[in-house]
Amino acid sequence: MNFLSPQGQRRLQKFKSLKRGYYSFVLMISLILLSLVAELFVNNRPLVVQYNDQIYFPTYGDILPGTIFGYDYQWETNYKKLESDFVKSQNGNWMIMPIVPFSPFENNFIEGEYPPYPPSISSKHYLGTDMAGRDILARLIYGFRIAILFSLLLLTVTYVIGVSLGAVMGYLGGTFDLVFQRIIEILSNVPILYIIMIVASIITPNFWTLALLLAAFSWMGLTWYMRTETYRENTREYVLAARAIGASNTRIMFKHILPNSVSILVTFFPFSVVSGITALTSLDYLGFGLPSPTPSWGELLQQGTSNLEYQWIAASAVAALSIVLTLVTFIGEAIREAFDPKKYSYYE
Amino acid sequence: MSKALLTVSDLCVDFETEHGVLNVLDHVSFNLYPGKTLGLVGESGCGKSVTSLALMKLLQKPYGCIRAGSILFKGQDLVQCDAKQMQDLRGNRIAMIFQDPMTALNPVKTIGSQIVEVFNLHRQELTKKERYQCALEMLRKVGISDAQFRMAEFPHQLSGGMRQRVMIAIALSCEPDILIADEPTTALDVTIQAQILDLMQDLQKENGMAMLFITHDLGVIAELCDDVAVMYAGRVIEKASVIDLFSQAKHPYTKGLLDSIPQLFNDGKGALKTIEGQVPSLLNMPTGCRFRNRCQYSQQDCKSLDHNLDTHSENHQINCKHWREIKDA
Repeated sequence: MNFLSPQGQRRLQKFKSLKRGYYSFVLMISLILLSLVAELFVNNRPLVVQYNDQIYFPTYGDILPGTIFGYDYQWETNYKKLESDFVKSQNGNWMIMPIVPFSPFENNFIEGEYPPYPPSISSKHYLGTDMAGRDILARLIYGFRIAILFSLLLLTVTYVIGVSLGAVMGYLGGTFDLVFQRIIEILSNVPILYIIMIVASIITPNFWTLALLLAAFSWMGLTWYMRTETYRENTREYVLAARAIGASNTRIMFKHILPNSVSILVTFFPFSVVSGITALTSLDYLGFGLPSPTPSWGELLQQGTSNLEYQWIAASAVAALSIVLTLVTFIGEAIREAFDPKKYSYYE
Repeated sequence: MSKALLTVSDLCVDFETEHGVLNVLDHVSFNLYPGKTLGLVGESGCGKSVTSLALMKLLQKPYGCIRAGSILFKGQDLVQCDAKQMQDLRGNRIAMIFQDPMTALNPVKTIGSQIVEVFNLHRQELTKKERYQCALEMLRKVGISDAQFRMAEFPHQLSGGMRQRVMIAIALSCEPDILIADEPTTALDVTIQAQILDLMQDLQKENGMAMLFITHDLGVIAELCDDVAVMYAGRVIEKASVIDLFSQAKHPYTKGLLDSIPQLFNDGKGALKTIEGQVPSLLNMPTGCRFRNRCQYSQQDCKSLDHNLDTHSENHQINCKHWREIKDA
């Protein structure tokens, strides 16, 4: 931990000592990392295939056409069929399938039954399937990956804009401040949902356009806090002292005032992550989010609520959403606590 | 006397407020000499701090502005300097110590990083390691024990005296030519005060820097300064060497100020002497002598007094028409 400054190390120490937040953090990071390599756990392609003394790793890379394994089609091999053929032919070929052997886009139909299928270990649909026969666990995991990346991207963009603009507004004051206050007031009164609906009716939004569109209308909240904070800190004597040692305006803004406002920023951090996830989920729920068949929690929730008799759909989506949001909140709480230079104390 | 390092002449500072333009400094002039300390003394609101901020050009725009006058530092007029030039000077050639060490340090940065920052700004040729070593050296120089350990501490973990030492370390890091100390001991208790004053004197001897020491404590002035300028309502009203000032003050205000110091040998009996009346508001400053509404010697022609100082001796100047007529009490 030598790359951290002493106060950074102290904060890390404090953060680690807050067990609930720390374990939530570890759990959350592992979830994110695991979701980034979700193909290894949740996939309809096997991890390893041995076929006629050749070993294949189909997980990443191009599709392997059926001709490789002795079928007469050019599209991607149906590995489930291949697996059962291996078992039948008994000629030493084998393959290892991931734990959840379904892709989030795959409609798996069981003969003689209509989807959705309830959770079952024997069919390997551990959380059942949705109305179209797609595995819920697979869709939850891939949906999580998209939601968290979306939320982090949104957060980065809104923080960069909100923090720098807020700091400049608070620092310069005067006309600049007044003009941007009015602009922000106008922007925050624009009904974002309608804007996105209108845009969605013109173009099909993808990951990037949706993120930028949401960012364009959600950076304002942070600006107010940052502006107020800068105004307040600007009158403090240490800012004058910094000026007296020859620090420039930019330096004072970002090296002196910003670190003093950091506890406000990190307090908002979990809420921003949460709001990013909920924004995407609600848009997907309404059908204005990412185009289908992108795996998404909102879409799953929508299926679940319109088909309440198949409880496992709504239950999985709601449970996943609540767990992730709670984890993020715990993390945020611990970060804020760790950044607070004062120890918690009270009077008897 | 050696050549002046900093020459302030006819410095006028105006503040624009809702009530109109306030003439906060009126033709303030003084010199700073290397190795010497000038004390700037006066009551609250007389313009001491504004003078120090004006020297650094740290007056808040658009409220405060230098209307006239010049500040010559090594042949360069600071009034004409642009922001970049001033940034290079501040902390490097001219440094400042603030009144309240409790608030003048950034609460979220370590002591070490705050000293290193001066080197980051003005000694970029040093490597990161050298900067750290220099900072450590400075911290030792100002008498902080266990400096290595203190480098990683935050301001709130230090006592007031130690924080003021850190402030001094920051100010003196680049061995400035001029140190402006704006009431550096006011917020400290008396024993610490004495230590800090000793420290500043020692460091001054070492560096040969000029010091402008602002205070309202005449005791501190007597202890530390070579020359004194007394300010009243934005004007310098008397300039003298410290011995002259305490032994033969001429201006009625200075006399009043000295008389107001409680004496040890009068048994604590009798009322504490004060100067009658109030400092006039800057909004309706009387014409002529600014002290005349409180002055027991005031006469009609005091209305026509301007800012010029009348010379008593080479080192002793008084801004009063009648100082010759006033007898020592």
